[in-house]
Amino acid sequence: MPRPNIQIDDEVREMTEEEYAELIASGWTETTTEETPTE
Amino acid sequence: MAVKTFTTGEVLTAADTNTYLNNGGLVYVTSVTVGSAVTSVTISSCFSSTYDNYRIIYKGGTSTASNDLAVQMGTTTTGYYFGSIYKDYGGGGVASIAVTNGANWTYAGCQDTPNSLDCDIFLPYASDKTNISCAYVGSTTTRVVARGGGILNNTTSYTDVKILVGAGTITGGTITVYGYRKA
Repeated sequence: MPRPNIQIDDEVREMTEEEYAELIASGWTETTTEETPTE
Repeated sequence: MAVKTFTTGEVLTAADTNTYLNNGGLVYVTSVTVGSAVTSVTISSCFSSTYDNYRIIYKGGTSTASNDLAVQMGTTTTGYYFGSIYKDYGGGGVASIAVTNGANWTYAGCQDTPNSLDCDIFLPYASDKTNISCAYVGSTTTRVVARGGGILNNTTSYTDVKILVGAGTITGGTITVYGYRKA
């Protein structure tokens, strides 16, 4: 399964495994979640 | 870079035209078109001593998730403080949210279709505390509007900025960086 992309200036590339691990550790998910609280 | 007041009959030289015609208050620095299905966009070398303060605008593109866009200075992932007051588009009351010594300014913009980021970055290049001021505009009727701001609690000089998604990926639209002209 391909990892998500990141972009640096005009270059778009697939994340490295290390970058992907950091992304997951940050709380990122693939699914739709509305983080901004609503009352 | 000062303005110039031309007098009647004064010759408008090519040099003056090229200098002062571009000498607006908000000056284009650089822009990046967001690529396909990215989780972050880093804009490098966008901050310099040319300007003290900058504006970043991102309106457009699509998102696979409804979440928030975060702003990170360079590679720094600690020391971010942020506070925001927000209100939904319905009948709900005003509420607030904060980031305390976080990894980024988490609620800087709205990740949705279209994406929306509208912020000023103060003193990023200076060896001083970088500040951010944001106007968050929710892109759909279920989102919120908010006004927030914060500091990065260090005195690091930055040349780069990174925009991050909270979930999923974003595609398309253009992120533009402007500088506020100094006298």
